[in-house]
Amino acid sequence: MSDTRAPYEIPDGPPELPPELPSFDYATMGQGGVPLVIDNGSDTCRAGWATEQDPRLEFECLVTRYRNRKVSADQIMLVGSSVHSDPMAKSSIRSPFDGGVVTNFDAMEGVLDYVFTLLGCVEARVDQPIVMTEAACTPYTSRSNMSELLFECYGVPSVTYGIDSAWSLYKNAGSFAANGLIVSSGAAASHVIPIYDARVRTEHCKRINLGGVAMDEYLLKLLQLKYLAFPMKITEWQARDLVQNFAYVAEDYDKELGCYLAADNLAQRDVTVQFQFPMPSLDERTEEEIQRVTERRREQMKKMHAVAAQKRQEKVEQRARELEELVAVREARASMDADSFARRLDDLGLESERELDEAIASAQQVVERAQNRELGLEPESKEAPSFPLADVPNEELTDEQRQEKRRQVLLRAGYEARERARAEKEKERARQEELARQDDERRLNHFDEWLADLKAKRSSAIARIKERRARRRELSDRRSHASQVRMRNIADLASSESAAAAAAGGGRRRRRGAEDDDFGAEDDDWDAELARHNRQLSLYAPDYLESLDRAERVQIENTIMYRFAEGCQQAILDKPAMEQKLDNAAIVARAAREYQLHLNVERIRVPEIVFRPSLVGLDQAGLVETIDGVLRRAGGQASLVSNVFVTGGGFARVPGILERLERDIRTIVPAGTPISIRRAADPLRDAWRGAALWSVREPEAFGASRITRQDYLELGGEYLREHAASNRYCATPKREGPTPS
Amino acid sequence: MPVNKRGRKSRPGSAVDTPTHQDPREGEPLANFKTSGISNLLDVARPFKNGEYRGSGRRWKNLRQVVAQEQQAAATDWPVDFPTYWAVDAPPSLLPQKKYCDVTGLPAPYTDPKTNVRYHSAEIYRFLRSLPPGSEQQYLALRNASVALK
Repeated sequence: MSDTRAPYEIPDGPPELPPELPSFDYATMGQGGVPLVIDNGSDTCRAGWATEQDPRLEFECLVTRYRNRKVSADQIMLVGSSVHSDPMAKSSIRSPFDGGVVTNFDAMEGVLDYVFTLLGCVEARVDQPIVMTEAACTPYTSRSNMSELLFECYGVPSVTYGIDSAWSLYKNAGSFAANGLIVSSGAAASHVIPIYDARVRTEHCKRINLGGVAMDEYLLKLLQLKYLAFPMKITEWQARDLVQNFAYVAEDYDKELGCYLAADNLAQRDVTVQFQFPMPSLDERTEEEIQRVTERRREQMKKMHAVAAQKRQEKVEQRARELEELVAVREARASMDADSFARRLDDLGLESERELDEAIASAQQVVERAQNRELGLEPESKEAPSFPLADVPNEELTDEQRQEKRRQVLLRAGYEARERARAEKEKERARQEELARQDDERRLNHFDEWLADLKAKRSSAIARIKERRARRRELSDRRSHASQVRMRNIADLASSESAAAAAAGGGRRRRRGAEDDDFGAEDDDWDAELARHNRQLSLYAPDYLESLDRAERVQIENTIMYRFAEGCQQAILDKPAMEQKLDNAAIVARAAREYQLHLNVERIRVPEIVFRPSLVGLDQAGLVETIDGVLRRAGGQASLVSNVFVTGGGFARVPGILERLERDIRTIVPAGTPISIRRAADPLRDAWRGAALWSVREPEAFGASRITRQDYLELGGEYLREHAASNRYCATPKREGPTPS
Repeated sequence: MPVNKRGRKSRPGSAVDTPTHQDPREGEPLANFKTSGISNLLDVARPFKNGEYRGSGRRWKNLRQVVAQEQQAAATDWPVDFPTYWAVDAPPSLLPQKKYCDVTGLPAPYTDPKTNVRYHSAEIYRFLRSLPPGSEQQYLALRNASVALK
């Protein structure tokens, strides 16, 4: 169980690119009617001159048009990946495409503006023939709007439309002569198009409405569900990055799935993805420093104690002086007349002789107590106060004495209650001490028995905690058995009178009875109980706790859910029985781990949707079944599989796709049929290169395929001149009257 | 022209939908952007555009609307074997579909009759039970089988 591979550190977003620079060789490049080739893909748009090897421009097909009032009142239009540069623009980002077909022609106009501007067109119109890709079997509305835009807005002399994947094949095969099958995977849709008699046969083509974007979305949803509490927002861009880097097609899906169940296979295939995480604050001090700090704190405590003692001493001395004075006054009483004595008392703030006596008594008490404390003596137990009048019958007393008696009875009651409480407390403490002593004795003499007991208590506490949790969960569901029983009990209580009376009368008092303490009524009680047991065990049997933790970890690590979510690393327990102390490296590792994802089954689960669209709930046949259908429709030409060509920006680049296709196609064609499958040299750019190459190398076909301005005006926007790589055209059936829009 | 005033709620797509009447042919000449590159396309003069062109009242429609309109307009008149956009949609699968676990993706021999969630083993079932009621819909939504209560 070793995971030695370094985690893949995923960036937050695409690297920021500087704005593209326009080129200024339009006039020289365009001499002699060199075609301008635009590969109008729903994900990426590529444009350039047919005479060049590679497209000049390659940008994300996105447009945003918005106002940023902080900068200026004017509208801003951004095209390409720069749409992401301004957060203000985010809500108005539009793609010209919907499901692989151009539908938003205002956005399309922005894209074409961008293309012609960056290619450096400064003339009054775009006077170059255009070669443009379109989706297989694109709706007429889309083409007619595109033609309208090109002819009327940009004034192009002619346009040629063709299917991107067919041109990609041309780039790789050099001609359309060989019969075969094109498997094209776009961002939004995938196509299977047969090719024979030297032209693509769109009449037999089939489309699966799944593409690269569907894979990205699927992965994103899977990850969001797998890590419900992930601290970061996983972006679409990141999901796409992960699909491109780690997805692969399983040759045998079920077998490969089974592989993920075994730990060593999982370790081999598991990918750890590390997101950026905030560094935890660390305690960087050394052992020595920590010791010094505690030492200093202790010194300070000592100093503070000394100061407090000094203050106390001073106070006692003050009281002693006061006492002396008071005593002196009382002694001088005999030698004074009443008036001067009263004045003397008044000076001291006292009113009568009795108050003087009381002040002396209290001062004496304070001083005495302080002296006792200094000498380390226990305060001698005071004799019980006497209540002489309390038991004398009222008849024998005068009115004044009766009043005094009432007071004494009250005082006695309070005194007795206090005494009782103290005795109770004393008894309880003695009981606890006795219990602890017995426990200690038992531990010393019969350790094994003691330990077994403690273990049993601990596990019963855990069982109780679990039970309570289960019950709470059951109660949260209105239809569960537990909540129905509870409701029935409540209903019974409400209906039966005796129960109602009991609840109104003695219920409360009974519950407060002495034997029935309410231990266990709260969850905290059980947690505290468990913590107490754990504390004792960690003192006397740490091995046991460690073994428990180990067992629990193993149990967690053996679950499929854990392995898929966390890979083959050690589990972190929520509440380990044994407290662990983490060093700094471990703290950092743990913080990093919170920001980690593990890709394992997803790696094959995501591209599998192409073969089983039902995985994402799409009610269409999978790729191979569709190929089977296309072969049948194309006149049962199983021989077409001897030349299968895979291209496009979607699944075509996923590793393993060719092997899987070969394996699955073998199951649908007669035994012994030669099968050959290949991928475009560059599945992304070959469509553009093929279109450029074709328009230069086949001038005859190119010339015949150009839809001129004349054609557009006479035959309508949807008109198409067919060629080897084009869609089919059939004049639109005449509509009767204006159609309601 | 419907100007998108501040504070008025805008329809989706309207930011690109409402073209301004500013003439695209005006603006700074392209040569000024030789070194700085182009970010705001509206700053640049685009002389190649027809200033009169307004897009002949086209409206932004999504693909489904486009296809439905086209299908309706000429439902009966297309040649039988003509590959229209809707005709080339791959048909539903005729093969039996293997069932996979909604949580782990592993083969799923079991289905929870209450929620219709497919699961791989008792362990996954315990996990599903531990979820608050209703949250299994998220797993069903993955294969578009969730029940949306409105």
